[in-house]
Amino acid sequence: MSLAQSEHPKGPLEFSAKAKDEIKHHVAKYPDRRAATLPALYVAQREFGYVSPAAMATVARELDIPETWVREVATWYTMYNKVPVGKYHVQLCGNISCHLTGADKLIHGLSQALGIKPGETSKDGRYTLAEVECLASCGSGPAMQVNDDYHEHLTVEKALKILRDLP
Amino acid sequence: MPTLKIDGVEITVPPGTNLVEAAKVAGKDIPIFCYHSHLSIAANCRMCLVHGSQNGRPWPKAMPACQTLVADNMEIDTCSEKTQAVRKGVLEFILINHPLDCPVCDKSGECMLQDNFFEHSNRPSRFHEYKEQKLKTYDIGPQIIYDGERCINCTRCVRFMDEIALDNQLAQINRGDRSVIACAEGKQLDHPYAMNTVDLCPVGALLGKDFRFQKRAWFLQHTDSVCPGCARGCNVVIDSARLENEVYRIKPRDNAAVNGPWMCDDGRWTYHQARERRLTQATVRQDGEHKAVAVDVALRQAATLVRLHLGKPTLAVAVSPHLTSEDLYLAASLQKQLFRASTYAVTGHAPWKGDNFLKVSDRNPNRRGAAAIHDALGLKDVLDGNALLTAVESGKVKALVLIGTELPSADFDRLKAAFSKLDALVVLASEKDAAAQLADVAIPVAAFTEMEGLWVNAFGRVQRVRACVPPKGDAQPAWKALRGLARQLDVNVRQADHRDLVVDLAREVPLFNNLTHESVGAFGVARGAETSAPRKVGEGKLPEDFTLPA
Repeated sequence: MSLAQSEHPKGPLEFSAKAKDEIKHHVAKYPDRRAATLPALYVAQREFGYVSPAAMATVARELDIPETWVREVATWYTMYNKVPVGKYHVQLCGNISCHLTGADKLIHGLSQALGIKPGETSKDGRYTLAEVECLASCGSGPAMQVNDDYHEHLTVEKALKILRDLP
Repeated sequence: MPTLKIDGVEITVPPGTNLVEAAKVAGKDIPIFCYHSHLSIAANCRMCLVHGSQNGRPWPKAMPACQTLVADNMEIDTCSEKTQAVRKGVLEFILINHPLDCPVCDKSGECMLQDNFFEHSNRPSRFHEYKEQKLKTYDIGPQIIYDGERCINCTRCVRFMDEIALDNQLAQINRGDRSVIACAEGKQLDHPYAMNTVDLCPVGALLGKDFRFQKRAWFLQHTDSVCPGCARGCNVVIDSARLENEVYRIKPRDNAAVNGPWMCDDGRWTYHQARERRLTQATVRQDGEHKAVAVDVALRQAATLVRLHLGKPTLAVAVSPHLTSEDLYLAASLQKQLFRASTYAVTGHAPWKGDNFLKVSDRNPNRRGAAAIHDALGLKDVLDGNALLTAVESGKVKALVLIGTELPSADFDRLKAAFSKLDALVVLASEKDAAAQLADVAIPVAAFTEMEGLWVNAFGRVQRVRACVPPKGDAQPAWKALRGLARQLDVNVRQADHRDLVVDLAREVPLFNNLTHESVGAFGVARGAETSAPRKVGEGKLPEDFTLPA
């Protein structure tokens, strides 16, 4: 996984052969190409680190649909990162169940320990902290999602250890 | 055909009619924002929510009238308190973040949000929170300014670009109260039909730069006329200010047989030629200099110059296909009885590239009318503009009377070289163009915003052009100037006024048989079997056998 730590240049981006194959696989699943926009945007996010305008244009070109259609979708959904994120995108649930089990403390604790507020990226580009809505882990809060992985029943110490142990 | 009741009025309409259209049949008005009869249904503004019942069972909740199709035994109420309460709620939501900058908004006075609010809500807001701040005066395209705060996100403009312009330049980006209309990153709304989005915008979110801050809507009077931009002759409304007699704007007027509710951007700018660079005074050249004179003096001078050449091979007379058919008829009959010029030509702008929607390649609105008149009056060997210029350049022609100055070439140097071979150049011009500047005698005539008459479009449809402002300065309708010239040449024109001309035109030219201005009316009369209707909505998008899945 190659996660970008700086903004994309203005010029066009190019998908790897593997990503192109993956998008082809998604396109084949739907009656029209436009329907594959969501999975193709995920491929782009993984491939380029975040969904920049250049990445949207690349998706549009790959799917052979207008750029505006891709932009509509990408800006509507919050889980496509429209700004660069760190190597580890730490998403902390701030919704009610997690809040009752101490999400507030967790968010504050991590903020202080990493020296960044939610929405910011650490200077070394390793972590981006984000407070998100329900992660659908209400029975086992507070919960945290680091890139694609879930961590549950957290305390500040446990969470910090998980983050520091990451490669 | 389904029969239903709208506010107790029983109507029968074709199946597939939506309730907004059905209500119109019943004489009722359902307020709308996002619905447009020529666009797909979005049902996102919720303004048209109505309560109703089916087979006596009330609907569980209000339904959007634009998206609900008629059915038997349906009963709709469009004005009960229950429906009105829904509308009040919808308007309150729409207005949460609306900036209410009506005093500086150009849409004010013709704004659907203002109208619907006054009619259906008219109560103060209960929201005291700060309003969401969004894109303001954003330069969305070369002709258009976008204001995200005024925007109610009805997506009419987006649907127009997708479905009519067939160029997906616009998108609704972000979500919730942050939604705005935008193009793809780094792109602009740049399309030959883009200004239609400004007409479609129910509020002042998309505004044309051309009209922005020019005139408040309530000072404008509206005249039904025809666009002079090309030979399609799109039906338009010309908006002019009553007090200062200036034209401010041209908007399309819905005529399914010609242009639908659309027109191209180039057509909208044609009013500039009737406003700016106008020839408002007659000029006579003396010792190489133009001297402004009274029209009578200029006509006398013109007569002196032309008289020597009457009936001789040295005289050429050229008419412009931008003149009305009445003007052209008088010019043609004068050619027969007075000028007897051996060179008679129909000039006109050089063609442009038409497109597959509205623009046709001929840029002259009445070439078909000119041809019909010349055929009927038996004028032979009528040249076109290029042949005329060649004849002038060859030096064969010594005196030229240009009635209307739309020439195939606007190249000043070429025209100067050509016209320098003439002994006399008399022009009837509305603009201070090359021909008017090079003329020995230039007589001001009315522009298309100032003349009454008939044009025939490229498909043989007779349409009525109407004067919305009086002619500028000393200008007069071309037929009057021609009549004056004839009088100076000792020929009395039989027709006393414009009405007489129309009567004679209708009698002598088959294309105009039995027509009067009144019978042509606002929407024109088709002569012949040709259809000029533009392509249908969504044509070329779905296969013809497409049906919605059951």
